[in-house]
Amino acid sequence: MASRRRTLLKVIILGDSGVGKTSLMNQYVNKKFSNQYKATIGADFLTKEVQFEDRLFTLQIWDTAGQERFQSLGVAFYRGADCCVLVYDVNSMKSFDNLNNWREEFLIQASPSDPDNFPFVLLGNKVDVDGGNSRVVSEKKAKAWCASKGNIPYFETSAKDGINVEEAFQCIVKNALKNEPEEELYMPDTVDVVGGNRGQGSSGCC
Amino acid sequence: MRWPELSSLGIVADVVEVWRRDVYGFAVRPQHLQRFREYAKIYKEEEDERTHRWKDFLDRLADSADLPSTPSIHAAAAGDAESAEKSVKEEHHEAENTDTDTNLEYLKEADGNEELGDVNGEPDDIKGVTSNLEKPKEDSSSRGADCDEDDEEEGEAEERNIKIECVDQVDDNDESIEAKGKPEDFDDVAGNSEKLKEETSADYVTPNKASEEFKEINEGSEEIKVINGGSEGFKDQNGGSKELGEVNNDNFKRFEETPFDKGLLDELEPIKVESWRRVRASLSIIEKMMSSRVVKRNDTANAISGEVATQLASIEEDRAVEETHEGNSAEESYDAEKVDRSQDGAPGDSTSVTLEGDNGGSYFPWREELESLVRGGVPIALRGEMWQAFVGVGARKITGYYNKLLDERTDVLDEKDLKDQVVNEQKSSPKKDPKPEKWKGQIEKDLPRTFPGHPALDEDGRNALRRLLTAYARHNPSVGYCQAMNFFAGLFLLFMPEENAFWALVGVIDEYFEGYYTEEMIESQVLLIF
Repeated sequence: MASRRRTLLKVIILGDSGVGKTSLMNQYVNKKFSNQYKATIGADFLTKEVQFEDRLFTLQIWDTAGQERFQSLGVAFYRGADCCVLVYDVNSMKSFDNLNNWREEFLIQASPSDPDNFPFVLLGNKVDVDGGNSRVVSEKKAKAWCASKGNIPYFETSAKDGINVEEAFQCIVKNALKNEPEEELYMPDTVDVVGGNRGQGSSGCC
Repeated sequence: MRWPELSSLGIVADVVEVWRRDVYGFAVRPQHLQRFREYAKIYKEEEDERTHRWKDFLDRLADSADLPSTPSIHAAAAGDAESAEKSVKEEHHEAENTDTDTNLEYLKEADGNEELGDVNGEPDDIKGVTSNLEKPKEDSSSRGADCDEDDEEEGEAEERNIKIECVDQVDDNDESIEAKGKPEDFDDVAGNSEKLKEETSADYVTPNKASEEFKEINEGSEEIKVINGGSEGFKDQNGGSKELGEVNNDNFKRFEETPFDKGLLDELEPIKVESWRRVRASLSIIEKMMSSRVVKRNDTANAISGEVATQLASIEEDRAVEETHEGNSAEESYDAEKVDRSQDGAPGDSTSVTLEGDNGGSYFPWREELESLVRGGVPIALRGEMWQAFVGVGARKITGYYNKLLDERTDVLDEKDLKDQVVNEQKSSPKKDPKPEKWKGQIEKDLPRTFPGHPALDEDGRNALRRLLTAYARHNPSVGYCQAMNFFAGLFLLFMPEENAFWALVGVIDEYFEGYYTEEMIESQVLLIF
């Protein structure tokens, strides 16, 4: 019975311009990498059916524009997110330093009911570049940051080589579901209704 | 530097490659290739239809305006001559890309029409010059028809091949070569040149040259006969025809200035050598209508001082005023902006993309027709110029402004000017970075991410794009650079020379998207809310 239920999980990918948000999403959904991505304007999303613990979910992954000023549009995209994926480039200190900003801005704009426990996942992307020689953010440093923000799960990924991408998104799904029981309290009928409502909500805002 | 010519990148030459790209030069994804092939023909048909509708419209527009740069063929012609003439003209159009054979086909039709010759110096001239080639053509007329059809569908490369084939066929025909040698033909040519000299003094050198060229060919006809079928023979001939084609084109350009009925693949090379080019004359009426408000603004700017930077200053002032009103509330600033706009006084100064010009109805009786034409789509070859006309590029342009923005030395000047501006900005929104040109990094990031893989975006293309975005950011520091502008700029560069593209970008971002791309993205937020 439980396996027949479908539900929608909304995931937002945030991070500086050019850290590989679009690439990660495409690697995960389409299992492809291209070095010819266009700059993302506003936001874009892809969906993927995922199975988790015997249940089928539609994962709706929102890929956002990285330029700072697009943050002001965030509220329209962040609303109703189940999980927020923060991405930085291990070869760019600035993209790592900005993580605080992205996280805080997300919490302000999405205003989740329990900001302290809202699920984030951190991805340090582009570990493949130059065989790791151009890397400037150490794994230790990244993990320390994660620990300071309430044990955010951390993955070192390469969208290009597909390293850790699948694993990271498995974790994202798992964390997105942390919110689920809470929402079922708000709408106790069935999960289907929740999915339907959310679908409408997200299409209405854009 | 300029945007590279697409033809030089081997796209046009390689037919297989062509099929992998659409008319804009964008790659067609493999999974869409089949459908693209299926629709290409339909697209071409529709595009031809559009082209004819637009051409007809612009012809009438030019007639009504009696533009000095447009010969008043129609005005002089009457009755039968008019229709014949029209067909000649139309044919010219299609034949424009130095496709002499098609021209000849056409002119042959018009040949019998004496009246046409009398009325119109130019077609007459063409007729005279080309009558030499006409006769051979008669013998291979079916082939000629094929050519015509083929190059409708195929691109320039194909066209060239076919042309050579046609010429080849002409060469194979001994009789025709003999016919060419007839002295009357020379007389005809000379007479026409003479006539043209009188009638259009500006052009007389070219036809003369052409007739000389012709003479050479004709005199060498024996030689051609000897090496008949040999590549050199028809190469020579081909060269002559080409020359002729150019003459035809020159004459033609006086009607249309630039070709706009092109083959599917020709459209891959809309980029011209110039860094600045004026919009064709027949569009100037539209441009005038659309840019009346721009003219006003510029007049004011120029009245203040002759300096080129005045527009820059005025825009900055505008922004400063807006931003001081702005505070942190989106609603408030939206209102402030509205007020600001209404203070401009010009009713036409709206962000509306429609043709609701302030004096549209009376001043521009073609408005409705133009509107429906626009809705039906602008032919790709006209699009760049139409965009420019609509956004008022000609009226906006301040000579030297673009280069000044790009000039490093003026950078210093601008920064000094900016100081007041920066102070103002800091007062209202302390979030702003007082360090100028912080958008540089973002532009660099986005250069390779603008139409990646597009053949026009090689190193030269990216450099042009960088200049364009840099110049805009300096022109309007309150917007600087915002992602998405790269796509606007890139698209403009595909359709027009660099400096034209700059002014088009200025028009679009400053006015049509005013407030969308500023740091706060106020208008974009409004858009998302509704």
